[in-house]
Amino acid sequence: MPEANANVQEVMKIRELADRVLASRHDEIVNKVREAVAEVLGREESEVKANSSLMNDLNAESLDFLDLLFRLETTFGIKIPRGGIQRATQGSLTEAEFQQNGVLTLAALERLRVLMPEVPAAQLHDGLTAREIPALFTPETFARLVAWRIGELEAEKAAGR
Amino acid sequence: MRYLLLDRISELQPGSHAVGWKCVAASEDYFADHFPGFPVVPGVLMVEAMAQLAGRLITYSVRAEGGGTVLPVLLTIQNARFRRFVRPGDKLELRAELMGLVDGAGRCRCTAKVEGQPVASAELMLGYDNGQNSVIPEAARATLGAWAEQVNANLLAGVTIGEPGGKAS
Repeated sequence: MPEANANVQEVMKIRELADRVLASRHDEIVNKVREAVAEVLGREESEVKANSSLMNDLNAESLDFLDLLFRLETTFGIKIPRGGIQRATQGSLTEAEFQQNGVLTLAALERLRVLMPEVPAAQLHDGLTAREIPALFTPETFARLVAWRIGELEAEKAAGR
Repeated sequence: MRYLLLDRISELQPGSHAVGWKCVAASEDYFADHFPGFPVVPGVLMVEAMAQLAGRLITYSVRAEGGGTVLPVLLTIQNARFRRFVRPGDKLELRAELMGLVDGAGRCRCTAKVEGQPVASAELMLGYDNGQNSVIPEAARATLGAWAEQVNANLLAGVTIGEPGGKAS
């Protein structure tokens, strides 16, 4: 399946950028994300574990995710551009290639497994719906998002030189 | 619109900032109760005025990025401060600065001044409907969109979007 390979290759780039940054800064980034999550949700930092589901364990709503994105931009000096997250998750897949009646396609699951290695494989199961994705988000997920953006900034700087 | 709390937008730079004002009339109906014998503008209405300006800044910023027409709604109010009373006859000079724009929301730092003196400030986050995961029913969207265009055209009469305002307060 040449399409599937291209699909995975596309997200591998994002994964590698994030991996490279996390290799040296994982704990620092995760802890700052936990701090931001605690502030947004009015929780004690000790209640926010690196693998707590923001929605299921900490009762976060979509509004809190938006607030969190802005805080992460400020905290880490990064930009999470409009459409950026969708470009990462869906990439060049069309809507129909990504989901059918709300249920994620195999190609979509394949992308998410590469993008979100912190999520236990069992949770990215066949039949998962697009609406269930936010429930998988943990501080680790946002740390990966931050690391990806930092990695991209660093790559841009390196290319500019 | 009874609670349109902007009279004019004098400058609107998508992706950056917007400047506008509200002239507070002695006849505003809330002065009857807020407060009898001591009319002052309720702080929440100043926040609403800021939100109305911030919402328009976000609408035009998203549009400038090719995101189509969006309808922003207030999601969070942070660090709201009310420093001085605003009274009948005051001209509330409003400014909204875009701090960030992500999928589905924009955040603005807003200030209100009277005669150059800060009277109120707040950081507002407004969510916007991108038509995909719409919270606003489709039929209402069209009506609201058309209504907003009309109101915005009046507020922005004579202003070129993206150009510095000449008579900005």
